[in-house]
Amino acid sequence: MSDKKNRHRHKSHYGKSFLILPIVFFMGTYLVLYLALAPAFSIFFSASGLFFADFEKNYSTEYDNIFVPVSENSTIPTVDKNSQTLLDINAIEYPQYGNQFGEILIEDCGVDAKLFFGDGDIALRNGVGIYSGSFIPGYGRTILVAGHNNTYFNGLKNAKPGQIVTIKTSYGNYTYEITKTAVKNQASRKAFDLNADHENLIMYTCYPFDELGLTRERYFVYAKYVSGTQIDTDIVEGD
Amino acid sequence: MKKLSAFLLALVIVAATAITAFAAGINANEKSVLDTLGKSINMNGNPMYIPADFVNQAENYFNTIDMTEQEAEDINAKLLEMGKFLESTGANNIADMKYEEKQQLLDYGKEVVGVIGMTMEYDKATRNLIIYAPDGRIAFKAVPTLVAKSDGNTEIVDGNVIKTTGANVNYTAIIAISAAVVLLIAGGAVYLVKTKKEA
Repeated sequence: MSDKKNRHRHKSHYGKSFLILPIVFFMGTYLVLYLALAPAFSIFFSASGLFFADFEKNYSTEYDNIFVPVSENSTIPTVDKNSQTLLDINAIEYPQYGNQFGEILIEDCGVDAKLFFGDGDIALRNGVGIYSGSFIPGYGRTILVAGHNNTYFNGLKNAKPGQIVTIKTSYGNYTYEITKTAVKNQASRKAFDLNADHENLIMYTCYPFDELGLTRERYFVYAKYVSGTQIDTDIVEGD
Repeated sequence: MKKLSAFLLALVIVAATAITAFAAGINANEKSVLDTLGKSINMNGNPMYIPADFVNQAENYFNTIDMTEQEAEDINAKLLEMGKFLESTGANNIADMKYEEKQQLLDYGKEVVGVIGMTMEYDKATRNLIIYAPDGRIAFKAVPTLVAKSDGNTEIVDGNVIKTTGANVNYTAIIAISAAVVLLIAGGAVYLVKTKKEA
């Protein structure tokens, strides 16, 4: 009888030692590693990403840079229409998906990043990107810009109405004034209007700012157009 | 000497007035295609449209090329044919269509973009339709759908507009490396306990 009891006690002890404790140990250690050590190991994670990625990445040329800052003395061809001076669209290099074609600065927020056309992985790893279903500065339409909350758009948390946003491109510099900020669901189409017929800038990043992992909410910063020569978007004749 | 001076002067004038011309702007041919893309399709009795951001992506790409009249005519004809096919399915939207119908729609799409040397593929993992420019660059990427309003601002139609902009880390790598480290620690602990017992 006592032998049976001992065997039973031994079995439960065996289960506790070799099943439950290792699982608790594994989960506990994993949690500590995840929360505390992930940033320190970021280099190794990136390197190992090469092996774990399920698609081939092209690192030979990460992106094309067509951005040449406009100097004070430079003259960009313009056309006069309806008593307005507009940029000749044929004289500017219209960016293609993946091109770095400018810079974005918000001095009051500490935002200073390369601006890409397209908001793919490479763009967001190296700066911030304009959604290719929106338009470039000067086009007179909506400019929707995405950036990571832990890097280039972390400063958006300091955004306040009245602050000035500057976008520098090869064809001119543009300024916008922040009008409001808002937290909205990522799936909400009412957070932006890509069909707007006036120039407006919308920047966004994941919210909350210090959250690790995937979040459903986005922090939107809305800005109105202040200055910068508009592009002549009328139909090009003679083609 | 006179000839040389004239030649040098001509060179200076050309250099001073030279303006780099890019294939930018929307010409009349491209405008006609954009107009076709903006037209409604009768889906099961309801007028449906291509979302505004899809058309915007086309406009942005057209700003980098020069479409000929013949290309525009071919594209418009194929788009109209594609629209009629969509209407004939009797579905409310692309998501409601049968697998075979979706495949046929993809074939129509490939024909349309093929006119200007582009290629199209459907990524099953992300459910994105991707159109590549002749040089391999992405020109269009979106979850294919139609919307009820012409302004394209209907609630929740495409999850591809707003991107994931949280901490930029590779979660697969984190899990794999963390698991490896934990196993190493656990192995070391077992080894220490064993050697201690033996001692």
